[in-house]
Amino acid sequence: MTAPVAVFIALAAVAVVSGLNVILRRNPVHSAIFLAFTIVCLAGIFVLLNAEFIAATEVIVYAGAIIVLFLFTMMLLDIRGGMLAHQFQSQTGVAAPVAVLLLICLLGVAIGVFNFSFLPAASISAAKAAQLGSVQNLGQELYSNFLLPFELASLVLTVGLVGAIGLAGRRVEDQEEAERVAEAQAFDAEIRAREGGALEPEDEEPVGAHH
Amino acid sequence: MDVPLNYALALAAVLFVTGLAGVILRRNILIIFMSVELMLNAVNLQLLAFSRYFGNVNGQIFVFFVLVVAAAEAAVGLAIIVSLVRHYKDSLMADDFNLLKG
Repeated sequence: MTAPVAVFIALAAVAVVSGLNVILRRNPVHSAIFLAFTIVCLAGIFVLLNAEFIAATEVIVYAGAIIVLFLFTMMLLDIRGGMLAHQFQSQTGVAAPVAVLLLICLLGVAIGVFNFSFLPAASISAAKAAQLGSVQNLGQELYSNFLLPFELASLVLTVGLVGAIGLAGRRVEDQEEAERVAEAQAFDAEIRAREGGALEPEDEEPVGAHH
Repeated sequence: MDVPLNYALALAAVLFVTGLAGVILRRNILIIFMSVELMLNAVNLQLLAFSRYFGNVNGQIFVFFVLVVAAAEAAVGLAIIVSLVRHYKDSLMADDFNLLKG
């Protein structure tokens, strides 16, 4: 086993274990920390795949921005014990086998059960592969063939920023808004009560109650 | 010898299915969201592995744009979650939010 393969397997093992922890942990804060571990391991693997710039971007954008955004959200939402009850969907018995089945299919394709042979790392020479992810190469491509999508990306980010502020920036003490929401909730409950009374009384029961 | 293409594809498959399982099994909206990020990363890995295999830089450019969209998506999605939890219902469970239910 050569050094790159050994490093890949070590990083992959940590990434998979952290990935499983992301979906199995009860506390979303732990999940976010494990997601950060997964991202850092993936960035290491990206370096092995000659994508140094993308690896750096991945760490900056994911570990530096997105995970921190998640943690800030959790801080804002003030998660209490009651919010963490009933963690798994009631369709777990169906969903888990479906996921395992998909895993078998994808692994079959990836590893080569379906008559795929083990492919080499690259169909190009090692020197050319090493040049592939360089900032120069990437920048040249980005500012020539992908100039329009690149400019549109800035537009997407601006719209995302404005949208996020517009959605979350409303003040809590906005009395009018609170009244409108309370009204909508009351209307909601009324409709449901009426429908429940006319159709079937069990409809009133909250969704999580029978788990 | 470098890492074979199949190793990267296998890791991407495992991570993608982990994310998918998170989305369909969990009820906590924050963890569902994180699982989506996991799936995006699995696809990024796949793109980079093929980009290297074919010696074509377009795969890396595509990953770059996926990162841009993921950042915007995380900002908007988390803003929606904050807004929902603050203004509509004080809960993090996905099936407590059925505003669009007919």
